[in-house]
Amino acid sequence: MTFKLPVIADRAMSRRGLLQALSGAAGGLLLADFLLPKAAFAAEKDVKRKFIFAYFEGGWDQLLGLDPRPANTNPMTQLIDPGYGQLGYGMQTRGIQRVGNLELGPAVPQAFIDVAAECSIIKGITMDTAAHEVGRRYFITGRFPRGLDAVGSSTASEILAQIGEATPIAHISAGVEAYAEKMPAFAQALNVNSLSDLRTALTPLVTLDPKIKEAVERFQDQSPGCEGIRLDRDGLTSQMLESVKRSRSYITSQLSSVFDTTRMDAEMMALIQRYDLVAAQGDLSAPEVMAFAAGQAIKKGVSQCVSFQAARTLDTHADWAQDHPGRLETGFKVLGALIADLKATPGSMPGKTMLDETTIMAFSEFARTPLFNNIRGRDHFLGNSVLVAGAGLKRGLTVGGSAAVGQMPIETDLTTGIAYETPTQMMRDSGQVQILTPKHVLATVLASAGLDYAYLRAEPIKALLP
Amino acid sequence: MRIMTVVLTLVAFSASAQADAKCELAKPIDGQRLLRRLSLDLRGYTPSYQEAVDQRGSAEVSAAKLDSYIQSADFVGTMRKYHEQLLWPNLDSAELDPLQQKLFRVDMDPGMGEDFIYFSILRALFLRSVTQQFPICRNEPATFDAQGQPVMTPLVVNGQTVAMQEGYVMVEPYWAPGTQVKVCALDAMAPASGTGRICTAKARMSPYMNQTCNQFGVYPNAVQPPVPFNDAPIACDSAFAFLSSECGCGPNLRLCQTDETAARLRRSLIDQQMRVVEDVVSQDLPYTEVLTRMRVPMNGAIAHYLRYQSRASFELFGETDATNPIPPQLSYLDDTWVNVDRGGRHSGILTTPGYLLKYMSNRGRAHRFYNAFECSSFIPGGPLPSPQEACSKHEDLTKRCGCDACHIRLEPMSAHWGRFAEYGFTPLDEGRYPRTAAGVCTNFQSIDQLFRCFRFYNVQPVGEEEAYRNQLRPYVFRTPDEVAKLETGPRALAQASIDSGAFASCTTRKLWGYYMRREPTPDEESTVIPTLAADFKSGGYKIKDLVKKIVTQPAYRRMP
Amino acid sequence: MKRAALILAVALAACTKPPEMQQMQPPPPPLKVIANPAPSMPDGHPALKDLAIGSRGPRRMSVDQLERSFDQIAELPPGTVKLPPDLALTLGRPDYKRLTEEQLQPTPLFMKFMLDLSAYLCPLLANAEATRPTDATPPQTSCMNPTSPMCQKFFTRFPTVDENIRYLVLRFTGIEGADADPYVTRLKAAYETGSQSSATLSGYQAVCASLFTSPEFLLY
Repeated sequence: MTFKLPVIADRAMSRRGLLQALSGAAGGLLLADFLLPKAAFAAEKDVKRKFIFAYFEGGWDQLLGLDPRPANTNPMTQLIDPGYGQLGYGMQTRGIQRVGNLELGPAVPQAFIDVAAECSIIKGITMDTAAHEVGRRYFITGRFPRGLDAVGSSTASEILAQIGEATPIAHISAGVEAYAEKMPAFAQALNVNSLSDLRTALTPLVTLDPKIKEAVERFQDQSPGCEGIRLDRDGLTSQMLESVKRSRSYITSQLSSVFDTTRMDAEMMALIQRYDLVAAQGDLSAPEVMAFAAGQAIKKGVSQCVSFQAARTLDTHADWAQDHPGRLETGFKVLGALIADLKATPGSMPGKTMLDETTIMAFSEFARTPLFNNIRGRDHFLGNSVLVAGAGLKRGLTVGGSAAVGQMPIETDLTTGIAYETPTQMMRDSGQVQILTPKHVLATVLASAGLDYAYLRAEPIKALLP
Repeated sequence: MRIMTVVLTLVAFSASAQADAKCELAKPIDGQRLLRRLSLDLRGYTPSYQEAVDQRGSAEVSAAKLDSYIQSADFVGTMRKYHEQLLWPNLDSAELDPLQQKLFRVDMDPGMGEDFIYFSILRALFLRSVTQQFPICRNEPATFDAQGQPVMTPLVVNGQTVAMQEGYVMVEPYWAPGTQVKVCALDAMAPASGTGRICTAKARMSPYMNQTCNQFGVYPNAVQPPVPFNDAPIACDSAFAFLSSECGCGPNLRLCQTDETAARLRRSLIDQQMRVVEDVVSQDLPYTEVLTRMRVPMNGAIAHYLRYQSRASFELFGETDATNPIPPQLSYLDDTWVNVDRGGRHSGILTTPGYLLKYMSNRGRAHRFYNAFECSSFIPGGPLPSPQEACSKHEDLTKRCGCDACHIRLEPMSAHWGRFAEYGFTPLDEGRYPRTAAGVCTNFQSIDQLFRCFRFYNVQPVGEEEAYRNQLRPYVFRTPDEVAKLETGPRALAQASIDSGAFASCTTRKLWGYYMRREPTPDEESTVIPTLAADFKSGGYKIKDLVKKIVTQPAYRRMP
Repeated sequence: MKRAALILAVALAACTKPPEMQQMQPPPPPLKVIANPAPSMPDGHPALKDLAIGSRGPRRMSVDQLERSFDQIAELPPGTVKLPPDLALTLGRPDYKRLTEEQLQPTPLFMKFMLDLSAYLCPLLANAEATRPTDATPPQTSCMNPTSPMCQKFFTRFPTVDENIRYLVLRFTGIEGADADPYVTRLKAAYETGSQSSATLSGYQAVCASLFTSPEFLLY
């Protein structure tokens, strides 16, 4: 029997139809190996969906967050040392916190526990790398980097290319790398590192004399000349001129007031309290401030996709007990504030909230070793977990898992979400169980909005999809 | 429809430009634009007006002009930037200023002019605190008892004693000679012997100190015979000095750091690395010396740190390095750079503190070398297999399935740094750190020795590690061949890369990409790049010659 | 002709479908450079006209290059123009922690800031002549302000506006001669509009800002 690879662009033909067109169950099984996953075209594309990607920088400790273990786990036999006894009194008292079917570690504060029911956890993700840049870029683009170089575009850009532009700054990336390869200009990120950068983008720092401004804009509108055209190899000149036009629109839209924390009105006062901006102590790139900016950008219709740094400097190879728990706790605190803010904000449809229209994914480049190193820290670990919340995804679920010994990722049934320590050979051979990767997670995020995820070459975790 | 917009806009560009009659889209760059391109690439800025005037009427940039650019100090500056992109110099994560020796400055009278006192928050917790967590001293001159110890008086709040406080003393700090600053007396202590005693009965009167002494005291009592602990002497510049109430910041506060001194140290360590590169480029030395050179520059900030402060951190292991002498004439403020000739296993930038502290593990050090100087990456072979499979349980990563694809090469490469401390920069010489633990892990004389034993030796092996019990950790799983590399040091790795041609080829390829702003075409891969690399090697690895050859390639002046 | 073509492009763009109906399409391929056929090539060698010869790729100036180039163009002391470090990070200067390579995309934030920077720097350029020392050797510069001591001392015939504009085009972009003619025409229009402002040498400030934010300056 010969197989012909399907034409991906032929969206009228469903995958099932193609399988049925060929005879033999064995042919169907083999074909499954060759067929790229199809988009869930039965689901309609949700072009109004918003997305938030919360990045915990440095490699988070799952034992303190998304994949905790009992405090009395024996390091010698289980090869896992939760280390909860080294934590401060408050965190030790928390221990493992249960919210329905979710278990969260002691670094997760009440501010997140209050909204945890809106979330689901994906455990047992293999990163295939222990390098920060590689893990981070893998999660950002969904494709494994080439060496250290990111491959392809950020997931946010891929999403925007599918749903189109509906906001002034469709894509903001705050403190997170962003990549756009052959993407329309609106899908490329406005990269900022702090709230002041965002304000810089949205307000003139120096006011040009109106006549000089008029002269410059007219000159820009007539650009480029011959030399500029010659320099347009790879589209660089075109990109520049498009950027000029976009930057003008940021100013004329007067978007800066959305992010102006010096406003003394009741709304801003409430936001300052909700996001605990005082804790940032004036640091405009602090997690509290970044989360605030992300929330405002989504709620006020400034952006459709926002990536922001929710926690930083988690890469604690030494002095884990002193440094890691507090920083991780801050990350969950700001994430909790963001989810609560979206939940409290009416959406565009009656009876819906912004959380019902926004999909959130929280990730880190990898997790940390379940055992301590010889300088009281935890090193890089190939396993990982992810948190998802919001629109298009089931809530309150834990899918996937890690081994009882050593916490390495174990295989998961994408349909049921159940993880198996010892799956049968048939389960493996049939593809029923797979080790989860960032591709599966991102495919799930895209599928939740009815978007095409074929480029990821992985199936979504159907257990999380309604 | 968006593509149509783009296409039509481009058509509009060229249509309108052609209407101006002189827009040839494909032609070699003219002399002025070539001059501009060369000036920006080789010096980092546009040409001067005089240079533009001199260039008029000539389609070529003269050899003399090109040489002047390449011989300029600005070219060295651009090479420095190029190497920053290879080495990623950032030391924010290195604990160069541990809390135990960090002084913070507090304004005792905000809004009324400056009245600062320097104090250590750790010593505040251990030596002053009763219930108040980080009490500072009193803002009045200290008094001393007959033994020369500061007199402590209670701080009472709402009828309760919350802290015991001493006063301040005036000290001339090492970072600002000729001036005096207020320092809490306990923090300014400078015993003449340079030593104190840890966990004395007096020190334990503080509940926090007592608790910490109890926590640390578990370790000395876990071995037989127990290690001397309570009242044991400790050098005041040691990481354990915070357990002593008798050690402070030493004469002129030289053992301690502030935010400003720490920032200057970080800049200096990065600068030191980059100056090695600058020296090689500016002196037209063989480029291989970047990896093999023994001579490095040192300034006063680094000298002061190595003399007095590098041993103060638990995390960052910075014992005295006999193979890296400290010029005696360098004082803290001295910003001149003095050349130091290192010995031992040092090798170019690969063993400078800046490199070793940026890449804190031996694997990290090897990985960066592999990326930067061999243009290679470690790419896993695929997803990890089940952890239940037998081959997933190897402790030896060169055998563990899923890991072996990379580690079979990475482990031997990492071994080259085996005799340099991880999470630190100290060479581990055979005298103090023999291959087996016999001398280090028996007959413990101090808590410091105990911690070094556990830090560096495989005294609690797991599974396959058993065969390497009590060996210095980098020796675990190493074959005899790899042990030979370990004992030679990173120089052996560098030399192997140079001898194989990988170094020349990678350098050529990276510089090609840097100046051409693109990867080589297939034709260039098979013809131009190998020729340039061979010339680079046979010509003595002169980087300026290689750059000149690249920017005089026809491709460099094609437009577009 | 140029204007008509652009109007046509805008009109067609207005006819595009709503965003949700758009498909993502790749941009057109980069221009291929075709060499002129050489007079003789070895037998069996592919015709050169069929080969694509690589050229150097264009790139945007880095933050460091911008700072130093403006010092050079305005003949300011080296190191005068220095961006705040945080902003430099946002504009692409790596810190080798979060950003490990120079980001050279001309993003909207970057272009917006270039306009801000020109608003700050172009007055410096306009005023630089007035403060240039007169005891130096005769400078090879323009003279935009005939009343300045430097111009009074060293120029017997003051350059025309067109000549000064040509000078600025050469300083900023390296374009001169006939290639510069179209630019001079457009910049003259910018000069005339800018001159309607009361700011010092406002016409030249408009020229400066136009050049500073142009691809001919920022790319090379």
